Amino acid sequence: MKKRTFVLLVAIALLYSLFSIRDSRGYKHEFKSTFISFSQAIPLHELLISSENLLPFAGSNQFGYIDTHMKRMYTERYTERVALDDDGWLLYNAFADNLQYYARVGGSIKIQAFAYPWFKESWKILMRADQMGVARCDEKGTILWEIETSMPITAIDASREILALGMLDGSVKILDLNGKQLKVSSALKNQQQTIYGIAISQDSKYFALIKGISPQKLDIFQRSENNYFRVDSRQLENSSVFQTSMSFSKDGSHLIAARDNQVIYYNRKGKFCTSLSLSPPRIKDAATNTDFQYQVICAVGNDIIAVLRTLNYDIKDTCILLLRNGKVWREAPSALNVVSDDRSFAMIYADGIELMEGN
Amino acid sequence: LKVKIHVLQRLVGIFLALANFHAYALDFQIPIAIDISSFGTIFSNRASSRSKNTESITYGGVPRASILLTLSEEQISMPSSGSVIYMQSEALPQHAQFTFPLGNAIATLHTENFISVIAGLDSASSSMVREASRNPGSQSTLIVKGTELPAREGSGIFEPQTVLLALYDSKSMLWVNPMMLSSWINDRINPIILSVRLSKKGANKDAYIEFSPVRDGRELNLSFLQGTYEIFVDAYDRILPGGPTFSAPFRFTVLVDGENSADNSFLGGKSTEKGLAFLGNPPPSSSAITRDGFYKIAEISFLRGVHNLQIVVSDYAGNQSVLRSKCIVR
Repeated sequence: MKKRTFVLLVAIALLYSLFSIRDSRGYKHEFKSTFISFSQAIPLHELLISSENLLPFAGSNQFGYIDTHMKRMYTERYTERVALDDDGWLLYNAFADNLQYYARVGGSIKIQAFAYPWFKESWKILMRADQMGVARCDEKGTILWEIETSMPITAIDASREILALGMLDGSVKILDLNGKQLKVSSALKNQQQTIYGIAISQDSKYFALIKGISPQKLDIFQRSENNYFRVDSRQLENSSVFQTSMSFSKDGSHLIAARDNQVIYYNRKGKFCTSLSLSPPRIKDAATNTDFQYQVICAVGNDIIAVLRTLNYDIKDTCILLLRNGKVWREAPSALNVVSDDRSFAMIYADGIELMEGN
Repeated sequence: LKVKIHVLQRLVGIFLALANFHAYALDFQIPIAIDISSFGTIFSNRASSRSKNTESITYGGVPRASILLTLSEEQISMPSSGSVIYMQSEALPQHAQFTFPLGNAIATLHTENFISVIAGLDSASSSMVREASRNPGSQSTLIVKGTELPAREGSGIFEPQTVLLALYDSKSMLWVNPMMLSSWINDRINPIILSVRLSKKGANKDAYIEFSPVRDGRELNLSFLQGTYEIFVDAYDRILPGGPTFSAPFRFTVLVDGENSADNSFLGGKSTEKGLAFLGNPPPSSSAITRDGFYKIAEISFLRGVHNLQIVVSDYAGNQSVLRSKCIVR
């Protein structure tokens, strides 16, 4: 009996030590961190066409590519706005009437469009200035196809193969790379419920949306051939009329949604949903009126989602929260942006980038 | 007599259109503006524009299902009471993160299932909605008519003190023209017809007959083969006297031998699965306009013989311009 108890205790101790070690392992143990200052950056025009292992990024006044293998950064200054991916970058102005695309292999083209660019995965999307349509461009900046929506687009996300759009009236369009629309189960028909946010999993197997206001629900859809069927629906604790940014983790196990001062966690496997109580930022001056906002940036690694926190809508007072399975894994004060690929990710600061690579 | 009948028909049409809106009992007041780009005008972020300026725009240059207002003040009065259903805020930092083109925007549900959209607001508008929505127990965010929404800085694609206003009728699935509710507009200037184009249906799009009004008002003589022709018009209107804006006219009528053959207007834009439908054209909205800014207003079949063709372009106040031509159809 004593022997059995002893074995049991040893087993518990072993398990505890294993998990406690995992929990206490900081990001520096899991990821190798390298800071590259913008003062060390190489001009973007010196980037070789043949370069590989590039991570595109946009900072507050510089954009470019991080050579994750050589630990170098190629940058260019910009004053207005930029969208970029592996193929090239698109500089545009706030008025949406001056779009110039630069292919990384060389050459540039003025895109004759009145739109804002949205780049993700393999998608180069132009969202019409009235938010009532999108067009897909190829790597040369040529428009391949376009669709018009009958209502303003309020939510957008994409995986490698699928583009998901949500509209003000509750309609949803799920499109493949050719602009062909995939079917979504009848759960969405005949409902005048605004889509506040949409997210699609990296493997395109699931998509999620937040819709309606009273009640407000998070619906999860699963793909079966060319159809998506609703597999779960959760009523949110707190409704909000604010547009919502959302992302699945790369492993598809969970998603994070953020709007205004709320962050929502949904566990797909456990099928539960909860509002996260993230610690409010430290206030330098307690007398100052504080109002903080959260915005989902992107999925990082397998199970981490990066969230930007701003204080009083001030871009000088930002913090990136890296949430691992819904828990704060790391805070990066003053970070503005996060970019990631399959192997690494980088946090963008005003003075440089912190490249994080898995050990 | 025919002209009188036509004028009467037109007035009855406008009256019915207005009656149609009033039947909804929607108390909706368009804020007073110093400049307006009207419904159907090619979409732009600037009020002072006209179709010819968009020649280089190939994507996104479509008739607008909204109006653009240049405000005289630094805020816009909420046109009607309702419940806010959607608030869009610009992402931060705007240059590094994707932000939606309409910038800070608010969508409000009004009586009779009308939905209004106001875009180009300041971020302070978000704060106003935020404060209201954070009230304990609040399930919706009510906003009353006349509430001042700040629009001093401009957001999204919009310049300072310039806002987009759109109105959607969920029951009829129609983007309705808010200009019909602008009782304060006093337009006394006729719209201007710049050019008319006849393009034979099914033929090469680059082969067409184009004619413009002659200065002394004489009738034009045209000669072409019989068949079905698409009629395109390049015309504009000034909504506010002395205002710099060139807007889309309201109504296009085609009379052949005195008979009303087509009558299309920017009363609204039909919302369909394939997009928006304007001026009786099928969706998407790009089918209602050519790349160089002509509106497609009708399809008319011409049989052999001599026909009188009249293109009538009207504005919201009923002012009109007419282009007359004698067509010898072979």
